[in-house]
Amino acid sequence: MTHEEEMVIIAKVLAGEHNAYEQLVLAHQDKIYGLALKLLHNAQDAEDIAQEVFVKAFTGLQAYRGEARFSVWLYRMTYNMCIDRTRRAKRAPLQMPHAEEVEFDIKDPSLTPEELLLQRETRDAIERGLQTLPQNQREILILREVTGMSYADIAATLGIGEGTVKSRISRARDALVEYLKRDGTISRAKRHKRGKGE
Amino acid sequence: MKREDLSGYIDGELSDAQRIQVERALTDEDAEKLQTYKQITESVSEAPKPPQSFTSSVMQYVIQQTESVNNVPIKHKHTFARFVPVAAGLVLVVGIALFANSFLFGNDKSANAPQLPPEYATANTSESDYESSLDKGIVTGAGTEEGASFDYANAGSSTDEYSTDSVADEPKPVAPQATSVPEAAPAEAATPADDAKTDTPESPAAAAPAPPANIEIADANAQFYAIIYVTGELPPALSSYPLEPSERGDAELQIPREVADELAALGYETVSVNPDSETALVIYSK
Repeated sequence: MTHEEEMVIIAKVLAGEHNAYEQLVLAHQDKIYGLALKLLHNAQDAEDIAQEVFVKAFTGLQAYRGEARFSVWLYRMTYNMCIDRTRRAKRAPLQMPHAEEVEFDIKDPSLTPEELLLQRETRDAIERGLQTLPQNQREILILREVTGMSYADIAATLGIGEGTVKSRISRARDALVEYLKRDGTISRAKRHKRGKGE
Repeated sequence: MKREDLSGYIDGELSDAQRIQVERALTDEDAEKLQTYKQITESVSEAPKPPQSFTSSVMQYVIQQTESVNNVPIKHKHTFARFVPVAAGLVLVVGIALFANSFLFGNDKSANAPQLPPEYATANTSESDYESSLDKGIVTGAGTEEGASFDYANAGSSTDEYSTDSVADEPKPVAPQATSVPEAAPAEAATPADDAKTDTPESPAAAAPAPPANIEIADANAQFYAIIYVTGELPPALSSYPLEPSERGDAELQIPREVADELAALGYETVSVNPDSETALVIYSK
């Protein structure tokens, strides 16, 4: 959905056509929920926050001026509410998710069982590695990877400089690469590639 | 090439000139790193979708919000069971104060002073934090689950005005259909008898009509305008206020009366206390 399309829908909602808001919910709910889930590691909490974000956005729609993308506005709210909840609940550091709690599998039908296993192992290792990162690096990396927000938008959301955003994301990635090397994940992937003759 | 450039490269955050520079300087090691960066991006960005009912529940909530704002007066949800300990505790405190007054100052009405009903006498007094802010004033109103019709304002002053014998016999009272707190209307609860007025002529709360709410406890000396119970998700109106954990395991926060009115209008359970106070107390539990 383009910014212009969003603005048209918002104008409708503000004019009293409240059902039009559903289009905005449908367009953004996956990322909002995904971001909350990645930050909170609890499906119920993520759902609660995502719901609250949309309701809050609806009630505060008058205040939205369209300077930033609507999605960015929602991401900011989601991030802030998740961090706020984490702080209130004193859950830091975040616990690893319970396997059943956020279990998901996006299977690529073209992959062999072995490749699927490797993909899953890599994903699990990255998840573990994420938990070893300093909180400010982990949160900023999640924000970037899940939402695809620009460095400028992230900087505005977090109230830090763009250079700091760039540097934290880079450090977070490098730390994860190091973790995956130590963990043996990268070498397993290399062996697999060599076995396939790639 | 700076370390951050590789990361900026896959994020599309480099200028054309920087991008070309990175591509020219790319070593095998950098290429491997970029490959791992991509895996990280894929893995972190993957997330399950929200439950199927998510959209409809959001929209239901949104429509409810719209209706609750448009429909005035608003029908509040009343859970009287939650107020029984508060009301009973207040009655107990007032009763003790009146008895003490009778004994200490030789009030000749003490012989006729009514006894508190047993259910009040044995009531849970866990709300003592709030009693301390309420125990100096006149208490008016009714509303217990048992349907007791008890004119607190007149307790200890006139046996004629006092009745507890209907506790078991009378039908349960219908929960008051309260309108939003700020819209003052003649309140049934705030009709103290003459004796009570004589006892506390300086009490504006006893004389002034109080706005209807879930429970009216008129007390000009009380600290709070109202006490509001919020459970579950914190409403947006409260998101900017700091929650202070209380000894009971829930959390409290103090808010301006305007915000209290807003919450009352949204249907949160409200005990109106001192109409002159500017601050209200929210008791929040998950």
